[in-house]
Amino acid sequence: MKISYFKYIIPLMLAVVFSSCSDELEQLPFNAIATDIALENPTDFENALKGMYAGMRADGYYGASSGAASIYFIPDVMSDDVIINNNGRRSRETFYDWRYDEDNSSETFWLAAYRVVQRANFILENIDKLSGANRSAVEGEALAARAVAHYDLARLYADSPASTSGGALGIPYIVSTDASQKPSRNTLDDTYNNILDDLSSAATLMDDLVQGVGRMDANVVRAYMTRVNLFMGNDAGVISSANGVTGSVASMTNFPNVWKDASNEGVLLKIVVTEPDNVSLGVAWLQESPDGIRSEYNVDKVLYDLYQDNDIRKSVYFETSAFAGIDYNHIVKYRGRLTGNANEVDAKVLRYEEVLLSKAEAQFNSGDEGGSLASLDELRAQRYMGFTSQGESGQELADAIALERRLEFAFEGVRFFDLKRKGLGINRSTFGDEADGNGFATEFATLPAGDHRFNMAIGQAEMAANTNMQQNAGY
Amino acid sequence: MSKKKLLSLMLSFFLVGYMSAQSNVSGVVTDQSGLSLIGANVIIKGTTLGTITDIDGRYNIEVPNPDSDILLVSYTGFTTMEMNIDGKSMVDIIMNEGELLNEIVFTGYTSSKKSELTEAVSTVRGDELTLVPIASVDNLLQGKSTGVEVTAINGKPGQQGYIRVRGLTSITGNNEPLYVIDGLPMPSTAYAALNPNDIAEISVLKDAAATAIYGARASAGVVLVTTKTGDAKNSFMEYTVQVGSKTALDDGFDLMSGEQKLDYEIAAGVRAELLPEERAALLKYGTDWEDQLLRDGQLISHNLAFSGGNADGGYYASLSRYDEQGISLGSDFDRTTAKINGNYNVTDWVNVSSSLNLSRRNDTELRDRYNVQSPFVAIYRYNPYETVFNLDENGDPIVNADGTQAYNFTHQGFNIVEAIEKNPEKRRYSDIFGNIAVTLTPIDNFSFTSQGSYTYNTFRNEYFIQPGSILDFYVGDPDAPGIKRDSGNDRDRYNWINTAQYDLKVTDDSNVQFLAGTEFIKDQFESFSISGKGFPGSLTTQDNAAEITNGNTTRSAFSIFSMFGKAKYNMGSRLHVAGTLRRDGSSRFGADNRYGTFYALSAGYDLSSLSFLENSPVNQMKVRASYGTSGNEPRGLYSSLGTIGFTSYGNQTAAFQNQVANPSLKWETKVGYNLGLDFSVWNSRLTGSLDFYNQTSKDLLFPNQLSRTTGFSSRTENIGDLTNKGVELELGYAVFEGQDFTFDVGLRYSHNSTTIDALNVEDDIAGPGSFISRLKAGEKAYIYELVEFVRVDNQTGDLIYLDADGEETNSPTASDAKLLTDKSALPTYSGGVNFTFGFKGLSLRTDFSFKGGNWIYNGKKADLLNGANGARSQQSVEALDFWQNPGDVTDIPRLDAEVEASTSTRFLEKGDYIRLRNVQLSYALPNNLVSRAKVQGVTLFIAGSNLATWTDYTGDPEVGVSIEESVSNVTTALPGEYGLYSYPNTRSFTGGLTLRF
Repeated sequence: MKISYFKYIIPLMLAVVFSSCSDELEQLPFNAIATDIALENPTDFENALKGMYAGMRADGYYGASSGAASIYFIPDVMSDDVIINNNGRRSRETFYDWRYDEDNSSETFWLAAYRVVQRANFILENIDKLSGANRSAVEGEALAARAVAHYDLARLYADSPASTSGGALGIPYIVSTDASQKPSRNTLDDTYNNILDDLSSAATLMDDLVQGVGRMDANVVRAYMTRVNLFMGNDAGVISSANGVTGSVASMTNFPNVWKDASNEGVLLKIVVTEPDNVSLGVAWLQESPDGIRSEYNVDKVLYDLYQDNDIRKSVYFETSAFAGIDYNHIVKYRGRLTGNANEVDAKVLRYEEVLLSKAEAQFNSGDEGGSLASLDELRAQRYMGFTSQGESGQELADAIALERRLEFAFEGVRFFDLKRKGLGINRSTFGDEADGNGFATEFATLPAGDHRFNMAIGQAEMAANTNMQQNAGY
Repeated sequence: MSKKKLLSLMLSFFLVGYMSAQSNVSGVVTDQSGLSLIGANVIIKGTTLGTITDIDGRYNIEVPNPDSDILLVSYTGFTTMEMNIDGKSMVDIIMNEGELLNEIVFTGYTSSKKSELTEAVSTVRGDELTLVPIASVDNLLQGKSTGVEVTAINGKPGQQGYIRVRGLTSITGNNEPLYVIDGLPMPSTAYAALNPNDIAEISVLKDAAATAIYGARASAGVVLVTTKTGDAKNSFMEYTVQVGSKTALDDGFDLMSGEQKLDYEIAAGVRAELLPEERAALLKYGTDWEDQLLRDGQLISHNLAFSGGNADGGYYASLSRYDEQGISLGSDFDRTTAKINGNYNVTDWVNVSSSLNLSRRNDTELRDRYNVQSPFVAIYRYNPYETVFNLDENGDPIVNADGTQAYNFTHQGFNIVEAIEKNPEKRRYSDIFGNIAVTLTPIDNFSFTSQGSYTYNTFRNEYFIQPGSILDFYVGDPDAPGIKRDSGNDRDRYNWINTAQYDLKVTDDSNVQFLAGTEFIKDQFESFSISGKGFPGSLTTQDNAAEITNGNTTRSAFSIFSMFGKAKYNMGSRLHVAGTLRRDGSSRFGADNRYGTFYALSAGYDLSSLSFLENSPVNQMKVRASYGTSGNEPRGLYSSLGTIGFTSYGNQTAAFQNQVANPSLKWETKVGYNLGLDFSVWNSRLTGSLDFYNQTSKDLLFPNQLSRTTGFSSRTENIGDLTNKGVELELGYAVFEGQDFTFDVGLRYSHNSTTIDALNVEDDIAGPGSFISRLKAGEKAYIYELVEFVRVDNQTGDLIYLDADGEETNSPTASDAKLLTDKSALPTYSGGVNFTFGFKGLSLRTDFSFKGGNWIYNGKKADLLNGANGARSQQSVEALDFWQNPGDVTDIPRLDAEVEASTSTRFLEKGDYIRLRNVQLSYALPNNLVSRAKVQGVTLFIAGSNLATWTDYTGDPEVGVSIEESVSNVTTALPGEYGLYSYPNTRSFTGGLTLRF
C-alpha cells in the first residue's frame, strides 16, 4: 500500500522541485537598471545630464568631505595664500608640502573628472535615441561638461599653453565609453583644441540663461571659454568670449549673501550641495569645535594684510578668533549657510567677477588700458566702501588687476593656476600661523618657477592599468 | 515511617513481584575500570525489545528465549557488544572503550563512519568548544583542527574570526568557508548567534572530494555544524554557570611619562622651551590614559539544557545567557539563546524532526577608527600631561554653567571619555533559524528526506550624537543640535533540500550507496538608514527630530538551484570508492555562464586487512586519494551586469553608469588532489592522519584595473590562478591509561603555501583588502613591497635604506621599494597541541596554539617611534633614545631625519608565535557523593585563556583587522598584514560549575 503511494509521490515532488526554481535564477539589482535601457526618453536624458553634475559634486572634484584632493581647494593649499595650522588636523599636508608623487597623488580627482567625461560620452553616444526640440540642448550640455572636465584635468596635470609649446604633453581627450581603452596623452595643442571645439559647439547648440545657476547654458559656456582662453594666454579669445557673457558683479550688499547661498548675484555656475549629499566643502578649511574654530589652514599674513579695512571681503572671507587660546585668522568663506549644517555650501564654480577681471587682464595685454581700468573698477566699486578710481595705468594697472584677482578669488582655486600660467614661482612668507604672524612658520616656503611639481603626478594606479600613459617629467 | 520510604518499599515489592513472575535477565554494565555506565542501550538481538541502564548501570530485561537470545549492548564511545545469555539470569557486562573509527561523521547531506571516509574531513566534538569564554563559535575552532587557521578579527566581545581552510582560496571571492548549520547555509554575521553549548559536532570539509557536493560555494571549505539532539541514552538536565574576568593582552610598549614627553616635544621642536613654573604647572596633573580608558572585563554565562527521549524519538532544549562587559569603557555584549530540537518516528516508515533556535544579541560599538574617536587609539595619542577635565587651580574639574564638568579638548581637539558617554552606538541582533524535515523509509534500504530550513536575521544600529557633545559641535547644526542615525538590515533566507538514498547490496560483503538530491536557496536582504538632527535631550526616536536629514533603503537578492548526486562502493570495511557530481545554477553568474558543474572522485583502502598486518598492533591503516573540483561565486551579487544607478543633484533625480558589464563572468574553480593516510595502532591508543594536498584556484575573480580615463577604476573579471600546497598531520596518543590516571597528548600541525600562478598583468598589483602587500605571478601571495631599511647612521643620525640599485641612501623614493619575495603576510604553518591529564575525577586540559611563517607590518610601532612627525602625540619611551651626536649607536634616528613611515622594512616583524591558548582544570565530584543528592554529576572547573605568548613580534601577534573602519569590508580584508589599533585581544580567567540531573 505505502509503496504504491510512494511511486506517485516522489516523481510529483521532484517535478515541483525542478519547475519552481529556474525562473528564480534571474535576479536584477533593486537600485539600478541595465545599461541598454537607460536612455530611452527625454526624462532619462535629463536624469543623465544631472548625473554629470552629481559627478562634479563627488569627492575629489568639487566635493571635499574627506582629505581627498579637490580641484576647488588643492590648488589653494599648494599656493602662497595659506599656511598650515599647527593645531589643526593637518589634512592634505602632502599637497601643502609639495610632497606628492605618483604614489601620493590626486587620484581621486583624476578619476572623478574622467567619470564626468564618461557620463557625458554616454549621453553623446546615445543622443540619436532622442529627437525633438531639446535634443540639441542635451547634446550641448553634455559637450560642455566633457570640455570642462578635460580642462580641469589639463590645468592640473599638464603645462599651461600660455608658457609652453603646444607639442608638450596634454591629457587624454576621451570621446568614447569603451571601458577597455588605454589611451595615451594628446598633445597640449590637441587637448586645448578639443576643449575649445566642444565648448564652441556647446555654445551654439544651447540657449542662454535657461538653466539657473546649478547647470550650464550657453552663457556659462562662454564664461568658461574666457577662463580657458586666459589660461592659454589668448587675449583676443578672452575678450571676445567675455563680451558674450551676460551678468553683473555682486553688489556690496549682496556679496556677503553670495557666500551664504542667500544670493546668486554674480554667480554663473555653482555645483549645488544639498543636505542629503553629505558634502561639507568648508571642512577643507575649518571645523567648528566647542573650543572655537579649528582651522586646517589659515590665511597667510601677507595676503591678509593686503585686504584693506574698507574691503567688504575682509569680513566675509575671514574671522579672527581664538582656538585653544590662540588667535588665528580663519578662512570662513565656506563656513555654512545662514541655517543648516556647518560648512555646507554650494561650490561657486564660475562667477561673473572672474569674467570681468580676465577681460581686464586681456584688455590690458592688448593695449586697451582704458577698457581694462573700467572693467577693474566695475568690480572694485562693489568691494571697497567709498571707492574712487585710482586711475592706474601701465604696470600699476597690471599690478592692480593681479592684486584684485588674488583678493577676489582667494580660496576658489584660482591663485595657483594664475602663477602657473604666468610662469611664476611660489614664495610663501616667513610669518607664522597665528593671527599676528607669530607661531609656526612653514617649513616649505618655495616652489621655484618651472618646477615639475606645478604639474601633478599621474597616479600609480593609472600608470599601472594603462601602459600607454606617459608620466609627467620629474616623477 | 515517612511517605517517601513507604513509597519506595511498595515499589520494591511491586518490582520483585513483577520480576519473579517473568523470565528475566539483569546485570550491571560497567567500563573496564568498573565505573557503571548510565543509559547504556541493552536490546535483544534481532528484536526491538530493549531497555536502558539506570543510574547504577543496572538493567533488567524480559527475555523470550533465555537459552538462545543474545544481548546487544551499546553505549556512545564504546564498542557495541554481543553477550550470549545461556540461560543465566544475571549477566554483567564490561564494555570496551570504542575505537574512534566507528564515530559517525557528517559529510554534507549524509554521514559516514569515520573508518569509511575517503575524503579529508576534520571533526571537532562539541565538548571541546564549551567553557572557553568566547562568544562566537568560529573563534573557538582555533588550533582545534588541521588545515583550519583561525585568527580573531579583533578582541571585541562576540566578534567573529577569520577562518582559512587550507590557505587562501581566492583573492576577492570568498575565503570564508561555507557555514552550514543543520543543513542551512548561514550568513557569517549570524555565527555569534549560535550557543556553543548546543553543538554536538563540527565537521570541516577540506578536500574537493568532500566539498564538491556543495559545488559553487564550497571552494573555501565547508564547516558543518550539527547541533545536539536528545535520545533515550541521553536523558538529563544540565546547568552550567561560568564567571570570569578579562584583561587586554600586553601591547608591547612603554609610553612616555609627562616629564619625558615634554622633553621630547622640546627636542623635536613642536614645543618652545618651558619656564620651570610652566613645566611644573603642566606636570601637576596628568592622566594615565590606559588606566582611564581600559578596565577589567567581566563575564558571566548560564546554560541550561534538557535532553531526553525514548525508543521512538528524542528532544533537546536549551536556554543560555552570556554577558560580557568589555575591557574598554563603553564596550558591552550580551547574548540570550533558546533552542529546541526534536525528532520522532511517527510510524515505522515516517520520521519527523525539527529544530528551532532563537537568539538575541546586544552590543555597544566603539568607533574602531584611526583617530582618537577610538579609545584604543586614544591611549597612544593623548599626552600623559593632559587631563580628562579642565581643572581649576586646586585640581578640581571646572564646572560649566549647566552644572556639568568641563571636558578637556586636549591637543587632539576631542575628548574620548566624553565621546564614549555622549556618542553611544548600540547594536542589536535578533536571529531565528530552524528547520523541519521528514524522512520516509517506505522500503528497506531506501529513504527519502525533505528538509526546509529558514533563517531570519535582523540587525539594528542606533548612533546618537547627543546635543551639546563635542562631536556635535564639529559635525552638527548649531540651530538643531543632536544627530541620530538609525540603521539596520533584515535577511530572510530559506532553503529546501530533497535527498533520496538507496543502499544496494551487491554481494554479502559489498554494497553501493546512492545519494541524489536537489537544493534551492533564496536569500533576500533589505537595509535602511534614517538620520535626523535636532533632538530634545535624551529622546532619540526619529519622531523627536527637528528635521529628518537623510533616509535610505536598499534591497538585494540571490538564488541558487542545485542538483547533486553521490555514489559510494564499499567492499567490506576495506575498500571504499566514491564519486560526487553537483550542478549549480546561480543568479550571480553572468548570463553566458549561469550553470556550473563540479565533480569529485575518491577512494580509500584499509591496509590493515592485508595479511602482513594481520597480527600486528595496527588496527587501521587506511590510504585515501581524491581528486575533484569546487567553485567560488563572485562576492558581488550583480557583478556581471552593466548598470545605471541613481543619485540626486539639487534634490532632483540624477542617473549615471555605475558598473561596467561583463556577461562572461563566471565562478572560480578550485581543482586539486588530496592524498591521505589514517592510522590507528595499539587498540587505538595511537591514532592519526596525514594529508598532502595540492589545490589550484582557477579563473580568480579580481577587480581588473581599468584606465581611470574610462571613468571606472575596475571591472570584476576572471584573471588568474593560485595554488595552495600543504601537509597536515594530526596525532592523538594516550600516553598513559591507568585505572585512576590518564594522560593524553594531541597534536595538529598544518603547513600551507599559497602561490600566485598567473595574473593578467606582468607587474605586481595590490590585492583588494591589502595595504602594502602585493600579488605577483610566480611568487607567494601577498608579499610585501617595501624599501629595505639598513640602519641608523651613527655619524649623521639618518635612517639608511637601500635604493633600487642596492646603494645606501638616506632619502629613498617610492621607486626604491622592492618586492620581498620571501616575506608574505600569509602564515605558512599553524596548529595546536593539547595535553589532557585525568586523575580520578580531576581533569586538566591545556591547549597551545601556534602559527607562523608570516610577516606583519607593525604600524603601531611605526606610530610610536615616529620622530618629529609623531611628537605632538604620545610616543614610546624607546623614542627618547634618538641619535644626538656623531658616534651615538642607536636604532632611533635624529629627530628631524626624514621618515618614510609606512614604506620601509624598519617596522616589518616576524609574526611567529606559540600561545597558551587555554587551560582548563575540572573536577567531577565522586559518584557516591553526588548520587545521594539525586544528581547525576557535579563538575567544578576553572579556566584561563591566552595565558602566555612566545613571540618576537612587538605586541600581540594575533593580528586580525588593522582598524575596522579603515578597511572597506572587515570580512574581506587581508588579516594579519598591518598591526594597528583595533580592539585588543584579551586574557581571561573564569570559573564555574556544571550540574547534571
